[in-house]
Amino acid sequence: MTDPKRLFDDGADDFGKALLGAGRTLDAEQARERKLAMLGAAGAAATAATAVGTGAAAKGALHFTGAAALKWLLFVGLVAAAGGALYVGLSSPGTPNRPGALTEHGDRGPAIAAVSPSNTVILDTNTEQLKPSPAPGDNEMGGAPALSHSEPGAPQAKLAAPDQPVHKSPPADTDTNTKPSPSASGESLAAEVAALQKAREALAAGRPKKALTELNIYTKRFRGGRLALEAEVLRIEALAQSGERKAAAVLAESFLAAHPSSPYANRVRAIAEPSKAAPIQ
Amino acid sequence: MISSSLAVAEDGGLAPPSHGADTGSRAGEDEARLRAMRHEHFEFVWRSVRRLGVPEADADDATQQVFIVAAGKLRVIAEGSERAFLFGAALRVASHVRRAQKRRGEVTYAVTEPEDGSPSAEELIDRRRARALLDEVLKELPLEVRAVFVLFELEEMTLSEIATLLGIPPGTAASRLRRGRELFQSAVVRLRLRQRGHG
Repeated sequence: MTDPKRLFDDGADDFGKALLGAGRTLDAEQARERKLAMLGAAGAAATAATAVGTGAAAKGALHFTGAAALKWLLFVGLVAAAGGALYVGLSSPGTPNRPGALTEHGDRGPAIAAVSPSNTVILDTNTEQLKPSPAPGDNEMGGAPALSHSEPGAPQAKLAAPDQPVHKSPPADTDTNTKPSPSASGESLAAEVAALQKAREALAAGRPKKALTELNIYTKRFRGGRLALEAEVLRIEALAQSGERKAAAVLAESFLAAHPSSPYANRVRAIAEPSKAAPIQ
Repeated sequence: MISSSLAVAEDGGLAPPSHGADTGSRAGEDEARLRAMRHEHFEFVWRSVRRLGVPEADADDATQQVFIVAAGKLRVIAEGSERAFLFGAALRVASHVRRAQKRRGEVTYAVTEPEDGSPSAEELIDRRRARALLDEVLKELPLEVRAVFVLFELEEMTLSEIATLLGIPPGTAASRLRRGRELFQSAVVRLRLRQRGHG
């Protein structure tokens, strides 16, 4: 099969070439930048935490890398959890602690949960840990109060508090950095992803009630789940789509107050304050 | 890579403690594989979700979603088929984002402002404007057609590679490309006329 020439080389006029050229080069440049920002930053933050072993140092690294990096740190943690949930789940005081996340340089870094107090909240989203971070300007995805009203009528989570209260800076002792995260001891990330996917699909199919049902199932099954933030956003969207705009707006406002710089913020803002939502390209 | 023992812990872990070392080893293999996938395919996934209709502001999220899906399916992704799996996941994620956008009635702006005042701001504005217009044009293409079109015209893959990636016959890839080009060219003409009208 002989391929035709590409439109950019032969066939498109100058206008079309300009569009295709921008698509080729700008996308490639931005993809490189984003890779550096997200993967590189995750490695840098983990390395900083490993080297110094203090919450403050890690926090500094996180300030430097920004929200996108924090989000990627979450992913790194999720990846580690997906692969290592069983191991972490089996860890006991007598078991040698295993670092939870890998740095981008192939080293075993500390568990992401130990990078900073607020980061702990990202990974370990049980209600015990979702308390406002005392550190102003800290990661806003994590250092936020729980949206306990997200599941009306549901009992509050009673998960055991972690050994190390997350609202305090972890001590310099690096051993504490390798403590397994409580949330990682639950069901596998794959199961969590699958459960949330049901809600996402129902929503995409225009079945918000079904989505809400699936979200309730998800929340009950994965209380303090690693994808709790995404579940919250889906719940807000499902409520809005089902016509319960007032309830959606209340949840959206709480979400925005708790996570003003979340990557999901604009999506949620479009529901809470449609007129203030930033334009989406 | 995917050893038979890996299947044991699919549910997240009920293996007896005596298997702890094996589990650690399996987890290590998984992590290493995922790390390699991210390093090798991150840019491809990011470009793909953008070109499949995810706005720039949502591209990081969408890319992350793709890799989360991969993390959940790691043990069923055959060695060597990572790129195909990731593109398939990117298609689904992009489709979801597009539907969600439609439901929310989000406004699409054809022109975005530059993010900073760097020395190349003028050029950046032009390219960003062109890129935003490309989004407008690509919207005219059905997703399966768009996938082939962007892989050929922007990713510069061959039709044979595209057919393999998408798991479709080469003839189907060729016909989707033809259709995509027709739609692209006619959308460009319409857009240019509209631009002149506004100018």
